[in-house]
Formats: sequence, structure tokens, C-alpha cells
Amino acid sequence: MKRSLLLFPFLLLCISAMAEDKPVANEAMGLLGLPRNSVRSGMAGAGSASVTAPAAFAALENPSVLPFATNKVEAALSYGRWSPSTAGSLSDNIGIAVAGKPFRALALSLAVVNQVHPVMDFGDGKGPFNPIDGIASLGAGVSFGRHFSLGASVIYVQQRLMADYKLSAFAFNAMAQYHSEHFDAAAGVINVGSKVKSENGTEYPLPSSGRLSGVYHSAFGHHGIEAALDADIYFSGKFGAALGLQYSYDNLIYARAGYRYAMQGAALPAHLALGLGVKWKGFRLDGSFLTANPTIGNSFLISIGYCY
Amino acid sequence: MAGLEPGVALVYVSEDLAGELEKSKQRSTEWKLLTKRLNVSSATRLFPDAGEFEPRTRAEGLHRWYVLHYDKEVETTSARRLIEAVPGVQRMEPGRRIRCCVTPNDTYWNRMWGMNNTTYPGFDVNCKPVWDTYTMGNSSVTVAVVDGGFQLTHPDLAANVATSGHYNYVDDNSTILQHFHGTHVAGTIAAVNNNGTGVTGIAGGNFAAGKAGVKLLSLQVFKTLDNGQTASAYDFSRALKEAADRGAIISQNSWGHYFDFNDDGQITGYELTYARQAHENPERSFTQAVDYFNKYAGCDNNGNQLSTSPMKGGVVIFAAGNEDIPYGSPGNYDGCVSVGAINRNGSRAYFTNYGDWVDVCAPGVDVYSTYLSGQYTYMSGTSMACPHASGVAALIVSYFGGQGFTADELRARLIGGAKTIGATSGSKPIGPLVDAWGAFQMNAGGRTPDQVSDAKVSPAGHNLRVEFTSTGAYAYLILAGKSKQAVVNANFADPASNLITATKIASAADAAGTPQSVMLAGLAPDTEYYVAVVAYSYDRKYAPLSEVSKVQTGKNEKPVIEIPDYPAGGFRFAHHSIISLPVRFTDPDGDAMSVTFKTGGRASLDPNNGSQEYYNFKLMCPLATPGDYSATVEVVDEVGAKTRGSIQYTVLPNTPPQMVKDPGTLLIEDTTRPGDLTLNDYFSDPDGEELFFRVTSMDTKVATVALTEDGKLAVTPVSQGVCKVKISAEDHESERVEAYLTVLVRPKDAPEVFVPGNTILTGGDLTVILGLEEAPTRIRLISASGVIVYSDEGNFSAATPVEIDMDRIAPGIYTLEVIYKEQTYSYTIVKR
Repeated sequence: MKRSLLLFPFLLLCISAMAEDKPVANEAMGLLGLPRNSVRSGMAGAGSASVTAPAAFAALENPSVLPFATNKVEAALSYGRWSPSTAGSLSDNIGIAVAGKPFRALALSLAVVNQVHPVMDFGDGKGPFNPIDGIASLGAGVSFGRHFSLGASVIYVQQRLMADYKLSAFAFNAMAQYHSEHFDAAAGVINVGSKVKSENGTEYPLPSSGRLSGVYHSAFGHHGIEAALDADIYFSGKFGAALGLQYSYDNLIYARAGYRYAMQGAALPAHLALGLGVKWKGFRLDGSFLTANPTIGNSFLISIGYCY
Repeated sequence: MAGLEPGVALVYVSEDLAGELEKSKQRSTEWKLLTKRLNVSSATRLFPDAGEFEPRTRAEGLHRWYVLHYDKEVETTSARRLIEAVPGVQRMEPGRRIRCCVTPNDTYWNRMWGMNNTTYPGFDVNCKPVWDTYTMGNSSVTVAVVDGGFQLTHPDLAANVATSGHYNYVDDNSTILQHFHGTHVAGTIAAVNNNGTGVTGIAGGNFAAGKAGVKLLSLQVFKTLDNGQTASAYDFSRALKEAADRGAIISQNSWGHYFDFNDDGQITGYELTYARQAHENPERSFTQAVDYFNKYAGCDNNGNQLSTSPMKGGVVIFAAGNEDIPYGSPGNYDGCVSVGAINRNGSRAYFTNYGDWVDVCAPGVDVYSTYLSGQYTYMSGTSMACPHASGVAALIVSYFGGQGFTADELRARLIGGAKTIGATSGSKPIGPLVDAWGAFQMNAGGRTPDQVSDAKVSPAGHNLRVEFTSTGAYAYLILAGKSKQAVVNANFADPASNLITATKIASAADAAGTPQSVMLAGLAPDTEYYVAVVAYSYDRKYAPLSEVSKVQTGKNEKPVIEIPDYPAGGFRFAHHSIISLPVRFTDPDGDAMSVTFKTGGRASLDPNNGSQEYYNFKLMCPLATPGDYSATVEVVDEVGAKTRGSIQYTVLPNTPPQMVKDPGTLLIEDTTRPGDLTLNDYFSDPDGEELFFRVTSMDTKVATVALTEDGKLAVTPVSQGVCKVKISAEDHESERVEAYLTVLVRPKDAPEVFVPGNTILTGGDLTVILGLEEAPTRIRLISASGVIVYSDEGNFSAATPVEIDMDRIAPGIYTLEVIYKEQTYSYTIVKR
């Protein structure tokens, strides 16, 4: 296990070395970097390695967590409004995801997200158009013993920017997970995939990153606490890290908060997040609210889920 | 100016410069600068090498006249300033336009009334009795018709056409092209008489008797140009001069300067001003040509009468002009006989120019004469009056001509024989009517003039001023001697060498009773002289000597040097200056002076128009090294009195042009109309130089630029946006300053902040245009995921448009958010 843990920093260093010599201003398909899980969103994105969070959207994040998920089947539906304070950047996100463990050691997840922009008229004579982005992901995780698992997912992402113009790309996530009673950790790469070519031939990378996540969780009577720290080293050379806390009472009510630090231009900007959730008889309702950021402030994400 | 021919200058140069221009391909630095600045294409002699007559051409200084052809876009005043500043240039005259003095008229009346007026007897040139009594013309006399070419083969002219010597100055060859005006004029002078056809010429000979008339020489200076009546002026002077070299002794000229610039048929306002200026300031290239003809016609190179010539010297006869104005250049020049026009009833023709300068008048309305292609027609104008005078002059020479007969005698008979008629005097005088019979009868029985009775002599320095009242004599001889006896016993026809003499020949204005003033020069200072005046007639009948006055001459005064506006400490010249300053030398005694000049640098001193009194101090400062200089000038009068002066001058170093005000931003809100900027408001030269501007639009898709004639920058909008215009201001030393003007093309209803062009980009720069004022601004480009992919903050304006490199931006939808002057502007940008 120790050797495996030493492997993570080495892997991250390699990822850093893959950064572009002449970086572009930003990566293409920035929607890949947005949170889709309102539980994690309430913790500013921290907690990729958490096994207590709903695993339905794991195919988009950390599929290696699937084998250690506490439920056999999970399904979730989310709605979010992204960046409502920045004129023109508003988008509505609708996601649907399902995950299950058909076998003891193997788990699967399917997630689909639609991101809908306001109707736009570019004045190009082609009339108004409703840009739509979409992500579809299929992931699987397999455990090795009680403590280790590996997960991978394949992601297809498409952006229809104009009536006559769309972009698409394939990416994959590959993560390794360590699990114990109070501590979970995961490391791997996220959103690694093909470059996106613009109309003039220039290629732009996806918001790929190397990710390291650690989660500590414990319960004291009716009270539960979970602390998570996630760090992303983007292939573009930028860096982001999120620290999140969750308090639960009797596994019924959840309160969350988190702060994400991110370098300028990182796929998900720095922000402060707050979240609430309730869980009752396999049903859960979670919400998150993002603030303290001029562009994504006032974004929110709501999800409902069912598990058994 | 409309009356001037652009790009042509007549230049009179010093002997040295003429030699330089003629013989050497090496030109002075100043001449090279002149050539460069004016883009001179040619500099050729106005009066070309005259072959056997070259010695007298040079003796009269005519070889020093040059015709310069330069860039027609250069204004005459600018060209004059530069040309006159070249050392050795003594005069510059612009090229003038010329036209015939004809007024076409279709009215027919009794033919040939100008020679034999049966309707109004007495109002013709009265040649019939001369024909009957003396002569109808003689082929030893050649009259040069300086005009359109006449039809050499006209049946009524051919017998009197010179066999050689004709020249076409328009095409510079010997082929004469018939011209209506020249043909008509020639017929009046010498259409063949008594040949049973056509018209009669005043000196056309007697064909029936086998006697040829005077010879007509065509010197063609008109062709069918413009309206058929205008041509360049400088060839006229050349033709005038060469008339003498080609054997003519009478020069017939029915043309004049052109002043009807607006072609409205009237000379008014500024046209009249120009006419007056030309009248008062005859062109030296012209007067020298006239003087040459008057002096050398019928003579050899030394001015001696040729054995084959009937007259020593020539007479130039000119039409007064048809503008009904009191001016008449160039024929008003004293060396010419100027001819006005009358109607057949003896009244003044309404069109004729007038004034005391008009010597005589002649029939000029409805004159019938030869025309093109063997035809005949009526024409009117002083052009038609002039050949009547020329014809009578030719008749006079035909009879009186011979060895010893002079042009002065011809002039005296032509003018003196004319008869006064009431209609030609008064407020618009045009002189007496030419009278051939009167000319022949003049002095036939001349009387001895009256004695001068009121001669007064007073000292003027070491010279004497003699004043008396005219007694109507032909001339007055003033005699001065140190002994009274020498004066009293003087042989008036050939005064002794110990007498100082001066002659005053009376003119038409010197009738009896007119005050006269004559300066007697060449006398010794502080010396007692005896002075008297004797009047004499044309045929040298002398009146008794006036009373002899005894006068003491005064001291000789030194010449005086005047340099107007000479500042204490000397002149200070900017390095770009072309200097030509007047310097005047005067002698209180009226003595002739000689001037010596020693330049301290590149300065020169040249006579102004060949004057002995007025000079020009010249310096082309761009060729001089900055620094202090001192030139010395010394003037000596004929007695030896000397005055010396110095001219201190400093040539200042050149200072580069400066931008005095930032051009800033030019806002064009009306995209259909150009904007403009007066560049001299933004750039200046500390030396006061005129600046040359160059302008370049850095983005012609937004605006194009050009310079207007009045020195403005004209900006023509092409599309909404902003662009820089590079402005370069350069002085004559090629030192320059550059600046940029920001041009903001923004329709009036457009937002203050805008993105020009398409907001859907595949790369390149996304330009954000801000308002006119510089204000705190924040610009951000935000991706759909909320990532700020571009951010800038600071004080911005249209002069500092923000350009975002979209090649660095990944495909996607972005929000461009601009906060300018506390207002937020938002644009959706798509990167494909």
C-alpha cells in the first residue's frame, strides 16, 4: 500500500510535465470541469474519494469509488443553474445518472448531462440559436480486496455552439482508490482525452488534470462529520484545491461547506460553497449554492436521488 | 493666375551664369537645388544662337535670357522666390498668355474705307495722294508680320511675299501655316495693288506698272490653339528680336497680353489690376527684344546700316488692344508705336484701349482685307488699325529710305505727320490719326523753332539740373563749358570736345509750353560752368542760344548704401530660408556707380532687373553651413568717391519640426462624410518652415486618408471601428516628427463601447473599441464555465483599443464584459 501511495506524487509530477510549452489561455470543453454532484458541490468540489456521497455521477468523477459505495443501486436527477450573475454565461444543467453493483467487486455508472444556454442571436444572418452542450459517461470500478479499487470511465462530450457548428471529444477518467473505515483516498487522472480542433486548425486540450483526493469521516452518536481535501494539477500547469466539511445528524440532515482555491484560468474557479441535504428511506434531496466568485457566484445545483 | 502660363519662366542671368549654363554641364549647387525643388525639365536660351548675328545678340545681352520649364503644379510666386534667389539671376518673368487684338464682325460696308473714305472724307490714312505723288511701296522694305502665319500663296499677297526668312515659332520650323488673323493683317499692309482683283494694300506696289510693293515676312507666333487666339508669350519676344536678323525693318504686331481671365468679354476688378501692373511694368525680355530690333534692324553687328537696307534701325508697331481700358501691354512700351482704332466716321472705336501712351490711331472697324484660302472678309479691332500704321510706315520708308535714313526719322514722320481729330482726344485719347500725306509733307518747309527764354540752372551735387519751358522744337541741346565764349561760339551741329552736352528729344507729350528738366552729368565738382540751351527743328534749324547762365557745381557726394530693415547685429536667417533682400545704391549727384561685393559665405549680390541702383542680396541658406558671416560691399561713383559697408548675417541651425498638440482621436459619427484635421494646428516648425506631410492609414478597412490641397488631412470612413493614422511632418532638411491620430468611426446611435465586425471568430484579434475619453476600464472574457480567460484593467480610450488574441482562446461561447465609465457592456462572442 505504501508503494502505491508513493506512486501518486510521481504520477502527478509526470502530469505536470505534460503541460503545454506554450499554453493557451484556456482549455476546450470547460463544462467537463464543472461539479455535477450537489453533495460534492456543497463542499466546493472536495470529496471525490468519499464513499458516503451518492455515487450515481461517479462515472463523471471518480469511478474507482463505485465498488465501495454503500448502496446497491443509486439513481439521481440534478438541475443546476450555472453562472447566473454573468450576463451571457448563464446555462441550465440537467443531469441524470445511475450506478449499480451487479457483482460484488464490480460497479457501473452511467451519467448524462445536458447544459442548455440561453437562445442567442449572433447577428450572423442565420437567426437565433439555442446552444446545447452534452456529456455522456460510462464508468466502471472494480475492487481488489477490502481496501483497493480501480475505476475508469469513458466520456463523450459535445458542444453545439451554432446551428452549423459543433465540437466533440472523447475523454477518460482513471482513478485508484484506497478505502478504510475512517479514511478514503483516491488518485488518478481526470478528463484525459483528445484535443479539440478549432476551425482555423489550432488544437486545444481538454481540462485534464491529475487528481488527489482524501476524505476523513467519523461518527459520534447521532453526529457525523466528514472532512475532504481534493487537489487538481491541471495539464495546463494550473492548480486547484478544495477543502470541504460535512456535518450530518442521524444520517438524516446534512450541512456542508467548502472552499476551493484555483489559479486564474483553472477549469473550475475559486469559490465558496454551502450545501444542505436530507435523506430519508433511500430518498435524498441535496442542494448547493456557490458564492464569493464574480463569475460563478449564485450558481446552484439541486439533486434528488434514490438508492437501496 | 489665368493670364500666366504655368511652369514657364523667363530668366535673365548674369554673364557668368549664362556662360555656366551655356558651356558647362557643371551647375552651381544653388542651380541644382533650384532644379530639384522646381523639377526643372529644361533651361534653354530664349533667343537662340543667331549665327552671323550672334555678336550683336550678345552685345545686347539677349543671350542671357533663358526659358525655364518647370513643374506646372508649382505656384508662380513660389517659383519666382526660388529662381530669384539663385546667384546670377537678375530677373524672372512668368510666361504670359497672348491673344490677337481682333473683334470679329459680320457687318459689311464700303470696302477699303480705311485708305479712301468716301463716306466720311478725311477719316482714312490718306494714302491715295501719296500713291499718286510719291510711291505705292518699294520691295527694298521688309515688314515682319509677327502674327498667325499668313497665306503665302494668297493671290492678292503672293507677289509681295518675301522669298525666304519666314519662320513658324509655334512649331519651331520654317513651315508657315495660314491663319485668318495674320492673313488679314498682311493684306492691309501690302495686298497687291492694281492687279485687277481683291483688295488694295497700303504699300502693295503697282502691279499694272510692274512695281512690287513692300515685302511681307511671316513670323508665325499664332496657330489654332485654344480659342485660336492664344499662345505662349516667350516666342513672341524671340520673333520680335529675330525679325531684325531676318531682314525686316518694320515689325507689325497685332497682339497683346491676355487679361480676360474669366472670358466674360470685359476687363474688370482684379483683371484690371493685372492689366495695370503689366502696363506699368513691361517685361524686360520683351523690351530688350524691342530695343534690339529698333537698334539692329537694317544694320550689321556693329550697328552700322547695311548697304542694302533702306533704314538704320527698326520700328515696332503695336495694336493698342481691344479691352476699352486705359492700359495696353506690351505695346505701350516706349520703344513701340502704339495704335488705337477709329470707326469709319472718325469716332473712337468702342473697344480700343486708350491713354496718352497711344501714339496714333487708324481705321479699325469693318476693315476689308485678305482672308484664308484666297478669300476676303471684314474684320474689326486694333489688330486691323495697326497694319494701317505699318503700311503707312512702309510707304514712308519706301520713299524716304536710303543710306542715312533712320528709324527715328520714320517714327517722327509717322507720329508727327498724323493729324489730330476731335473724337480721338478727350477723356479716352487714342492719339492723332495716321496720315500718310501728312507724313510725307512733314518738315517739307519746316521753320526754325522759337528760342528757349527761361532756362534755369541749379547745382545737383557736382552735376547741374537744367529746367526750361518747351518751345515746340524737335529737340533741345544743352551745352556747358568752363568758358562762356566756348558756349556762345559753339558749333551746335558738332560741339567741341571741351563742352559737356545733353540732348532732349521732344516726344508727343512735349508740346510747346511744357516744362522740361534735364540733368547735365559728368561735370567736375566745385567748378564754375557756363550753361545754355538751344532748340532745333527736325531738319536741324537751330534757334538762337538761350541766355547763358553761370553756375558753380557743388561738392561730389559719396554714394549711399541703403539696406532696408537691417537689424542691429545683422540678419538672422533660418536655415531653410531662401533670401533675396533689397540693397539700394544711390548717388546724390546722380553719378554712375560701380559695385563690388565680397561674400563672407555663399551670399551673392546681383542687380535687380539690370538696375544700377537696386540690387538683391541673395542667399540659399539650406546650402550654407550654420554660423556667423560677414559680407562687404563697396560702391564707387564715377568721380572716385567710395562708400563701404558690411552685411553681417547669421545662418541659424535647422530645428526639426515639432508636434505642438497631440492629434488625439477623431470621432466620425456620420459614416457618409469624411472628417478632416488641419495638420498645421498640430505640427509646426520652430524655424517657421512650411512642412510637408505624409499620412498613412494603418487600417484601410476602417478609414482611408488623403491630403487636401489646403493642407488638411481628409479621413474617409469605410466601416465602424478604430484605426491609427500615421502622420509624418517633414521640413526641407528632411527632419521629421511623427505622430498617430486615432480615428474612431462610430455611428451616432452606436454604443460607446463596441466590438467592430463579426463577433463570431475563428482566430485573430478581437478588438474592443472604447469611447473618446480615457476612463477606468475593466475588460474580461469569461467562458461559459465561468473561467476568466482574459482580463485587463486600466485607463483606456478609443486611442488604446483592446485587442484580445483569440488564437489563444479555445472554441466555445464567451461573454465579453466591459465596464467603462461605470457602465457595463456585454457581448456574446463565439470562438469556432
